[in-house]
Amino acid sequence: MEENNGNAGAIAKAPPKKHNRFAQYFINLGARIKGWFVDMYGAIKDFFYGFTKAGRAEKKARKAEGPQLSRRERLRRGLKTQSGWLFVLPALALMAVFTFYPIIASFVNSFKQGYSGMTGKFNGWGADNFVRVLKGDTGTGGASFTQCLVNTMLLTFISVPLSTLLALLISVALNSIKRIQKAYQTILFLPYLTNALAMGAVFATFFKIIGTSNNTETVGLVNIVLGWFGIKPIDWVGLTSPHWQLGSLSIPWAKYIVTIIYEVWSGLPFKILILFSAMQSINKQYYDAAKVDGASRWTTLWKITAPMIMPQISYLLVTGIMGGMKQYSAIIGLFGTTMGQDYDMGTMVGYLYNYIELGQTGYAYAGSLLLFIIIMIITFFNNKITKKRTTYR
Amino acid sequence: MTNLLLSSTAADWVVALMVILVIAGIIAIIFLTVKLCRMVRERRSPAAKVGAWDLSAGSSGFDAKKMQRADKAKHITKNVLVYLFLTVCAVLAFLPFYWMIISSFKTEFEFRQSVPTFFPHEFQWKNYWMIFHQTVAGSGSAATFQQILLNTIVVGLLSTLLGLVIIVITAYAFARMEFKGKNILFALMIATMMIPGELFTISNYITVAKGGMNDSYVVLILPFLVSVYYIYLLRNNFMQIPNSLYQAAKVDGLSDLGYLIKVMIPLTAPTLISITLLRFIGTWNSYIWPRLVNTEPWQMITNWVTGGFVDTKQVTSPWGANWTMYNNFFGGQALDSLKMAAVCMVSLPLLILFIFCRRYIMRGVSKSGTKG
Repeated sequence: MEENNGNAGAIAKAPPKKHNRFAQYFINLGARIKGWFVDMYGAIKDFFYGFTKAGRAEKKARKAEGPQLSRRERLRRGLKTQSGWLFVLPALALMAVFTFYPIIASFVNSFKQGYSGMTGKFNGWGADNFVRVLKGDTGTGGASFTQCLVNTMLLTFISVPLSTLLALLISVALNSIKRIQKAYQTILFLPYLTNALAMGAVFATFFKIIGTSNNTETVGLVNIVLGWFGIKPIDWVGLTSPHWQLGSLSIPWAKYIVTIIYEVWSGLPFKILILFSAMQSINKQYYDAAKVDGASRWTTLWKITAPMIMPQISYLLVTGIMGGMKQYSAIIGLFGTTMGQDYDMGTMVGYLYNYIELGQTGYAYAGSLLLFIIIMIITFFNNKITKKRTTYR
Repeated sequence: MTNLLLSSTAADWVVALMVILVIAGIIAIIFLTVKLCRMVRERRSPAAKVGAWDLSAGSSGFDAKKMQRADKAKHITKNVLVYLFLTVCAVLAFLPFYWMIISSFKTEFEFRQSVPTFFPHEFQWKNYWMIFHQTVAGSGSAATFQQILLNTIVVGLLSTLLGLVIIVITAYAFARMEFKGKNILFALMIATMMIPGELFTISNYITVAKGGMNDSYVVLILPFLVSVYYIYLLRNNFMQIPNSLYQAAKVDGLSDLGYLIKVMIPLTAPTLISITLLRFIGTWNSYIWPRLVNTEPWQMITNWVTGGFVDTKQVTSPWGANWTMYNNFFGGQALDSLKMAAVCMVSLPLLILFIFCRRYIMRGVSKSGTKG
């Protein structure tokens, strides 16, 4: 940049060097992480300054200035100023055992080969756990990591945009009516506080075929409705559920549909709440101005409403994807504790618990670290997208 | 009995559809009547018409009127479509709850009919008696519903109250007190929020198992007492309270603890109520951790609901000794009508809580984006 400044005349000030978007993003990210460490370093330095020579000298000088106190009085005052520690002590002690220690332990133990949590025995260090987890070569008959990853990703990236879009439509509709708005609102918010396991079981009954499928026993509500259109009953959640096989990967599409329907149903109320309240808080003057200019309802929606609630939409996408990556309870509610047949509906979190229950702690640790890394990557990309889109406010 | 029910259910679908159509129809009719009344009124009073349609009032009379009418018609069709869409969505949102409640009162025979009924022909209250007196399926342990409910309530209350105390005092220390290393500690705590909670579970499980703490309430309560997010939320709330209040309280001779209890807690009560409710709901819904660390008699209500409910023999019952609901007709099969009764027992308290405390819960959730 210096040589550009030296360039005479034509360009008064050269623009700073433009990196490409991704590079720029990682540079900014690095700066932010560095900032955090600098702050931490400052705080730590301040903390230890009192123990250094200069710090002690300064303290002595300060003490000489002030009133002379007895040692007991000084101790009493010192304790009084530090009494904050007493307040945070319970939280700190609990976090040391249940939060800080596990973080260190997961990083250390995931590199122990053949680690068993109960006995603490392991045979040598190395990245063996990660390799085996990624290859699916755990030799225990547990869930397969690739299968779980693909399931989680597909389910999340289909159901979250779908439910956000539906929530947008519903809140636009809610916003445009005046009568019995409250009644609709209340009913639509009902699925808000539900237990994923309980409601998952209810959804499973909608799809379940009991006994044989020759209509002597129930084939489930959904199959009956499909039957009106001449579609034969599909085994949505059972053992003979249809699926596509891609190498070792199986895509149980029928179970996917069931899960996505459940996810959309349970995700809608929160999204409607956020979007609807955002729409209510848009200044009415914009709409009046649009009306004067003769804009149609459709134009108003896309040119005024959508941009104004963009921050909320991106917030919903971020939280939705975060939640989707950690889904587990709904799967158990719908498909039982084995997560479908041979774990074909396993999720990332389900993978961890599967290996904890199998006693293969090393694989569970490796899986949890991989989940952590994936979530981090998604968080960073989300941050980037959010930053770009939320310039309206 | 079964045959009789089977033959009479064909009409049930028609009835259900008709009910939905009638409700939709009533809504549409009310709406249209109101609209029409207003239209007529507007036509009668020219002043109102000019007021409402001042944009087109200046143009030539007859055409404008025609255009207005066309506009109105378009407007009404649009509104009807909007109401129809919302009604369909509302019906679909409510359907699982309705299905859950009616299924819990059906007999298993009725539940399994090839043409489902939309209202139980015979109310089977015995479903509830059965699930209350059944031990958790698949284990020989004596974990009845009473035991499980007791576990959930004791753990829920203790964990909520103790957690609240810890959250409040920690948030207070971070918001108002000065001590060495405060900023380091706070930065460290906030940094842990980025890490998914599943990472902790494995180590915690080993810690608990090694410490021999399995099968106790302690193990359900202790690991989740500290919640960094709520500390952060409450600290920000505390920091919004002006400092002058603190100085005034100091002048009046109030201690730090006294200031916290007498001034800060009343001022931040809405947030505290939200936190309390969300924590209790979180405990009520906890599933993974109890299943991992405890055996059935020490587990929580959601663990109970995932068990299969079967037609077991009851040694004592109001209907005689060695009573079974269906005379072992279904063998060891899991019965969905019983399961729906269990699902009702888990879901309805949450729904009731939601109806009564909607404002606080929504506030908390819209801030944190999580349920508990």
